[in-house]
Amino acid sequence: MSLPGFLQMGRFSVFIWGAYGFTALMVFLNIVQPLIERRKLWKRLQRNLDDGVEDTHEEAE
Amino acid sequence: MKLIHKYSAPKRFYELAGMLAPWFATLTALLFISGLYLGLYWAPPDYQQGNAYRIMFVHVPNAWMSMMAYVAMALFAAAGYIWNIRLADILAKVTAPLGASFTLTALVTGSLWGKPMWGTYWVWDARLTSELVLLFLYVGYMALQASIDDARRAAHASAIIAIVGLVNIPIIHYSVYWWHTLHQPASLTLTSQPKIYITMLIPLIIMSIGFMFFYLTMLCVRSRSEILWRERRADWVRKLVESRS
Repeated sequence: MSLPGFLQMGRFSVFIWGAYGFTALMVFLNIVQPLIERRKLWKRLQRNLDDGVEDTHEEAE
Repeated sequence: MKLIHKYSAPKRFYELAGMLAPWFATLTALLFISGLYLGLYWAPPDYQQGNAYRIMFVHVPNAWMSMMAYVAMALFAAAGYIWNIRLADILAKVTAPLGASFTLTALVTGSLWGKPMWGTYWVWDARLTSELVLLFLYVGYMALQASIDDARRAAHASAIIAIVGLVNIPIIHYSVYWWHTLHQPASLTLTSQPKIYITMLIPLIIMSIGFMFFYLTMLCVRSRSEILWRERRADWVRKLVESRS
């Protein structure tokens, strides 16, 4: 199968690539979101340690 | 049981998850790459559906994982509720967003497959509706967790939703047999020969195992963050933070 033929995927290409695109987006978000959260968490833990006061407020970020 | 007790200590599990996550992530990547190559390129078009059937390679694994993640979440929640295992509460909590994303992906990819094959994105048939109920159960679980500040009370209250909601899993699975649905019955069962051709079956199985390892990878990553936050007053966390600064 040629590359244009592969990308075309017959007459339902919009649905096929739409489904794969949405899945890829969900996988991407599932990877990125916890990494961002983890970064925020480390900063918060670091601040708690530096200040000696516990910062549990969500909006403190 | 000894092993469970050994690794159910948050510190132990934090280390174990940190050790396992890169291996799971590598396996996930390898399985996804090979599964996508085989599913999108190697497998031949279907004689009836053409290339549209290739949506199956992302739809079916996500639908399976949506149910498996729910069963795992309910079992973790039950273990936390009955035996007061802190780690079980944490694992139940971090499974919920993953399960919800699997369910949403299964619903969206299913409707994108439904349009060219059935002529509609959505019908209120038993399989689709019960899968939608599963998404609501995940959302309800997460909303309840988020609405209670005390982690212990939040885990206990939401465990009830998780355990009661378990009744929906056999309903989803058997809906295609109990009611007349537009959705087809299972092509793969444990007790009979597969109804799909081997060149389509191999990528399907590879992608399914890939999504299972993806769940395990993200479970490790998310649970490590949750453990750090809940154990923030413990000495080992303070030492860990100090060592990073």
